Amino acid sequence: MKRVESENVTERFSPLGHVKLSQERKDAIWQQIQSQMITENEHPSAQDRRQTRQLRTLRHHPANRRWPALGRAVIGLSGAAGLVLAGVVGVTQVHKYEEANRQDNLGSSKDKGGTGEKGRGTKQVGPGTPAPSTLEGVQMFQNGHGWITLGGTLFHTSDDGRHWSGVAASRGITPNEFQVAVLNGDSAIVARYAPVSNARTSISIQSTSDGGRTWVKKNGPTIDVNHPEVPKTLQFVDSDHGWLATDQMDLGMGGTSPGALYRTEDGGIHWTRVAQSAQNGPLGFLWIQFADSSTGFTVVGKQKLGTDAGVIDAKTMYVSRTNNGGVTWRPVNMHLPTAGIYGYTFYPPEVFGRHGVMVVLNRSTNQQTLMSYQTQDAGSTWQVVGAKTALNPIDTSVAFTFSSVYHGWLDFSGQLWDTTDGGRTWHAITHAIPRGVQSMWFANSSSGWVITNQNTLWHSADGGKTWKQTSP
Amino acid sequence: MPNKPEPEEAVKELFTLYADDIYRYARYVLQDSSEAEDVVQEVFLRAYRAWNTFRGDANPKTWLWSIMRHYIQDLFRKKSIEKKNRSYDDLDLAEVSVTLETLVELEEVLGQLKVPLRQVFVLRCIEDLSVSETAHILGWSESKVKTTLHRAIKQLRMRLQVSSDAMGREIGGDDSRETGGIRERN
Repeated sequence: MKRVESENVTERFSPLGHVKLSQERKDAIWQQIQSQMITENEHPSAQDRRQTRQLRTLRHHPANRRWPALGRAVIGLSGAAGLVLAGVVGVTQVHKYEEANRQDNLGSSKDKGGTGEKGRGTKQVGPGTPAPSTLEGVQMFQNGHGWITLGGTLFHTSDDGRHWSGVAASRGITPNEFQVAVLNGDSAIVARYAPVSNARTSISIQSTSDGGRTWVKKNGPTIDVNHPEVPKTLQFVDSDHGWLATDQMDLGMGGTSPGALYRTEDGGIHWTRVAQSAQNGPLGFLWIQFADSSTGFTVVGKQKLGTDAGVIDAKTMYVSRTNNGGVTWRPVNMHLPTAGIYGYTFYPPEVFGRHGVMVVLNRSTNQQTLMSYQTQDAGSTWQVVGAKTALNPIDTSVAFTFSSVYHGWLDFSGQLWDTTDGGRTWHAITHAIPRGVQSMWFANSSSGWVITNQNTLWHSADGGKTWKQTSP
Repeated sequence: MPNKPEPEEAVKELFTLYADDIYRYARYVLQDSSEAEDVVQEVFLRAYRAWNTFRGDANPKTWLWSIMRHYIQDLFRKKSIEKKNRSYDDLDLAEVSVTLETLVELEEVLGQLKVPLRQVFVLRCIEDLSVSETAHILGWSESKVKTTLHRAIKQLRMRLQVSSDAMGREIGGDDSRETGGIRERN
């Protein structure tokens, strides 16, 4: 009997290393992948991070909530929740209810230089082109003034959308490199990536109070020049209190990872780095949503330590809350179904006082369901109040807007819906809504606006029943 | 400084570079060529979705492997994969100097190993990854990689021995017909 030596074992199996896909099969597989990428690109609900950026800044500014009193009067649900909705963070996660009481390990400012991300095995880079921001949004006010971002440019109107002025490009704000926080119909704050030199980077803050005709430069947060960061989300709850979440740029494949959370309490004159994702801990600030100067929300996920890439472990994602302006964060209590579910998409909640609403899209093999949650304790705990299954499991794009904790509109599964009870029940309005809605806004019960993923702007004057394309 | 490519562009490049590697690993671990093709598709779609979170502080191939490992784990969890009649079509043998029969036999022998042994053997001995890279991908310690690989080789050696002996009996005990492969057939 021959003895097969260990070395020969490896040699004998070496032919297996030459097995390849046939070119025909490879082409077929690539075509499938390409087709799916196009589909997901057209239906941003499948692309969490992109949608996060698109839907955040303009649509869900708590300072611009409209008709909360009307909502309460109409519905009369004292103690029912407020509404939330919006952006997205693509998240496949299973939230363990039991986990909700633990303290997040998001580093606070005290962690700076200690557990912060910087210095970790990430490669360092100088400033360069940041990951493109695909911010798209519309926000209109009852005086007919409003803002949209379309195709990476900021526009303003003062006549209810009949005419638009492109205000960003003329002020040297490069499209796709800025984030906008809207204070009212004429006031907005812009954060933009501002490379200073090959060795330095900064974030520039500018504000306008005249619809973008003139801009005042404010101090941007101090950025560690060795760890360039780019603005990711900018939000102000009033003219003084604002937050800026950043992405940290890395070398190598050029990816980005969550950077830090900055806060200002004087309208952007001074900024403090209040929190950052811990080096080996959960990554936070994939989106942020503040209800007031102290209470805010974000989505957190654990990194896949021991592997590469800052890939978040999808099973560990959860919504977290702060009650001290973003310094410390704690998971909220909310129960998510797990049977048959392979993924969730969390949308930033909107909280009005102690009441609020949050929407979560959960995905199973055969169907996708949008679940509505309400809170009555300012977002510490969330109870599911309603669910709507996609009519078309393929088309599951989601966009929504709420004017109060009760009254909201939803584009889901190719149909426009509205609710007057905070998402408990949804009523179909029409199928005749533009496809690929990425941002939606109703200034009142009749006048609605949507922006699509094809960078088209549409308006409805009859509560969403019919839509007409317009252009800035 | 290189700019980060768009996801579509990046995934296309990664697919060109690593689709075969992903396929091989999935094929040998799952013991099913059509499922391996599904894995290739899913891994690159997941890479596309996760591209914005890829920090790039490690080899993208290792990153893809990590994505694949988690996906295959999910597959094993969701359904106990039954051994199926494997199909061996679609093999591109242009660069393979051994016969199709030999490849099939090698796969059969490899498929007799338990999954962890198969995984570590494929990564170390077929894909030529280092102990460190293998440990990284599998989420194991380096010592576990070494000991598991040792067990894998030991078992393969035994199975090759059995195979050789069986062949010897089949062809009348004439060991002289054996070559550098497993065996040579008329």
